[in-house]
Amino acid sequence: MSAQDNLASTVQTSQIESRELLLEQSLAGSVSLQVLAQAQGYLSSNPAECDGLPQYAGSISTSGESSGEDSGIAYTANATASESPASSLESPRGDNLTIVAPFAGDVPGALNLQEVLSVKEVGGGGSVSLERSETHTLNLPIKVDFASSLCTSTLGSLAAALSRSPCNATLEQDAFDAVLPALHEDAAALGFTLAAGWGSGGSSCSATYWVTLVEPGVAGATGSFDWTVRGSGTTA
Amino acid sequence: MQFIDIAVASGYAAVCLSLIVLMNPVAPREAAVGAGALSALDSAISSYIEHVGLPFLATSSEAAICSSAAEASNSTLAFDVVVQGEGCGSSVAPSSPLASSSLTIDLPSRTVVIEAWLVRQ
Repeated sequence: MSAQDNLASTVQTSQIESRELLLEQSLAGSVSLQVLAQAQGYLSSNPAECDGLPQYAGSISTSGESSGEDSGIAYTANATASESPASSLESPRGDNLTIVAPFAGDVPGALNLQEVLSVKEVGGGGSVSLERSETHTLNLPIKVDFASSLCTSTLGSLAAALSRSPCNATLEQDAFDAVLPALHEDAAALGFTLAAGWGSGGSSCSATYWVTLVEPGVAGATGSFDWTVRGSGTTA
Repeated sequence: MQFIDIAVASGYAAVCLSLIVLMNPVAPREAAVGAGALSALDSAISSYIEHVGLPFLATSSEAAICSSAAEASNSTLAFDVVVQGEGCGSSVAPSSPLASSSLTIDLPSRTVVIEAWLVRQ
């Protein structure tokens, strides 16, 4: 083989390698986006319960995969993700999967996912292969911490207001109406809309109350969506 | 700006490699130079998608995407992005490019094809 042949072979191998790197980058991003899209779909179609927020986040499990052939390179990519292990982050923690920014990395108070990512590629008739297996963190910017604190404060306020005048529906309604504006303001300050109501609890003069918090227009990885949290209680 | 630098450098490198072809058209070297040009184009596509991010390509309007492609293009390198079969317009594609490369990305909501050409001066 001449020096020119060697040069050509080396450059063509290099071209396959650069194509594999480009594919790896786009595959890692696209399967991660699939993971985020699934999580987003779950969040938008499944309201969370105030008293089950930790379990709610823990129940999210998503996956993404892609396989095919490009420029003579056979590839497979897959990713699975679930809630990121609890951490006491006080500031965002980055991740090098910047192609899906700003959804790469941990964000305090948001839904953080730990993703296990795998990409395999074989090109050049089997002579140039690439294999990548990594763990990343992804996030969706719903305000889990704010929802939790709003649930606690809102349900507490409703319980206190409705407990002051048991067995008197008129006074209970007055108390409910009096507390509601402040609850709306508190929710709005944290980026939520609030709907609340109450009714007779039936026997023994108890009252039931409920609240629905909606975080509208969350900027997700595949578009904006609304996230809903619901809670309820009963006065003694 | 780093993105622009990389794109310009990639385009310049590809032009230089192409000039070598014209000056000494020996077959193995032609192949090598062609491969080099493709590498440069792939590198430019990589820089583009890293710069704009996949969420942008997944959610933005065609106008915004086409604007980003135009911004990434220069005198030696041209980009087009085809979203669900609709490109930015025939005026983007050079009539007789020195080399071309494309990348298809299947996103959750749409398929995007990024095309790059090395423009003949």
